[in-house]
Amino acid sequence: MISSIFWILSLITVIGIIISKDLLINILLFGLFGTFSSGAYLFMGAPDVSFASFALGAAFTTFVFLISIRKTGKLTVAYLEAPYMITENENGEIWGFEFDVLKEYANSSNMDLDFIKLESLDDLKHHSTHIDILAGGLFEEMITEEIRKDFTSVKEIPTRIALDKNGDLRDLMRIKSLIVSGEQTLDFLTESKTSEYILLISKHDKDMYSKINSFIKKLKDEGKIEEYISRNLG
Amino acid sequence: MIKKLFNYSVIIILIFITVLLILEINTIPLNNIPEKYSTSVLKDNGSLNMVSAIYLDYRMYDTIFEITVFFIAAFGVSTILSNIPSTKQKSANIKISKDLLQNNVSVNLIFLLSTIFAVYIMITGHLGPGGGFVGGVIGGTGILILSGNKDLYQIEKDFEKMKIHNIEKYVLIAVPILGIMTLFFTGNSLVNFLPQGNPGSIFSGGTAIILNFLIGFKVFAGTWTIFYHFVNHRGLI
Repeated sequence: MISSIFWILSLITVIGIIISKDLLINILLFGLFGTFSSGAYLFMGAPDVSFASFALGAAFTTFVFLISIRKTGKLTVAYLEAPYMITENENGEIWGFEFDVLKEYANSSNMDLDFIKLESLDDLKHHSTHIDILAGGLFEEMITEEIRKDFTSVKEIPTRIALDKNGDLRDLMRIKSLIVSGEQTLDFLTESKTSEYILLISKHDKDMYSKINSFIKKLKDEGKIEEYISRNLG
Repeated sequence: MIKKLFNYSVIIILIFITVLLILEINTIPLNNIPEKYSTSVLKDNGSLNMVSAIYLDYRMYDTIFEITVFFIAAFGVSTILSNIPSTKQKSANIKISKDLLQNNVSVNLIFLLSTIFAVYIMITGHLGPGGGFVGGVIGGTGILILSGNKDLYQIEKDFEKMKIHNIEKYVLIAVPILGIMTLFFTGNSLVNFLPQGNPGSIFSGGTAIILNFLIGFKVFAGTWTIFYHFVNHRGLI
């Protein structure tokens, strides 16, 4: 009688595994299934089998799966060199504001980051590897329709953009680095206006857009984004 | 928020059912088993746990090969993966416990409890449910949880210092040797040759306690070997 209740419960967990698309929830449901089936064995009068089922199905396998989730958890980030936002130093280490945000996101969801450097946005066509996130001081005005087909944008922080003498759009951080290095003075700019830095998220993974969006919102609520700004952007 | 709530409720249900299991184990009636078997096994072997009596005495032959299969699995994993270069990371701290178990104290506490529980299950395998296999897996899981906040390479170094992998191989040989030794005592191989003792006391059931401990150690070392190599080479295979 009681064992049949456990069998029904384990049936429900299996249905849950099939329906759920979140990997972490799937693993926890699998552990729950091991627990329910061990309960069923117990009430059928086989405590030894029940123990083995519990130790292996509910505990050991769940942990091994939780660890191997990191194997699939890999984010490929393609970036344009953007001073203060995401850039490489002399030692080959990447640093910057967007790097900090992405790293925090990868840490919070147990993923590894992989970086690919792009010379320009046109380079995207030549890359055969799947790219999850595009970064590097991007703003809405930079993005062509072609890129929009594959990526959706997530707003990060406000900025200003301006036209330089050649008619190219430049953003605040790129202007800052040019001025700091002494290559340009402020007067080469015209038509400045406000805009916003964005991250581009691949449309392949439908969950990722909402996840990163809510993650950035959370960072703003907790005030962490101020910390990253003062550390990298000044 | 809902997902977090869900995760927590899953953990609560897991804990609830675990408690229920532990409470219920003592109150299970031995129904459905013909009295003839239960009394004759008790008289033959002296173990209160009939399942343990069967796989450590009547079906010892199968058990030896079961251990061998487990050894081959662990040996295969370690041999094949040792030839593949490992992940170049300074630390192999896996951080699985970051959300589930809030701090280091709880991880260490769970490790301690699971180790004690594993040893308890190993040495009382002939009195109640459990035995070597389950005890070994619980011990392995305890170390697995410990690696949530301790460096895996450090644990592996400690294991090498204690020569656990060598002892594992001796244990594999020890079990058949114990079986053959019975030839000299009783004239038959793979039977119980030690005194049966008083059923219900720790030293009853003859060789059951030794065999349970050996098998438990074997399974513990095997699960650790498999787990270490999987983590050490994750993302490369």
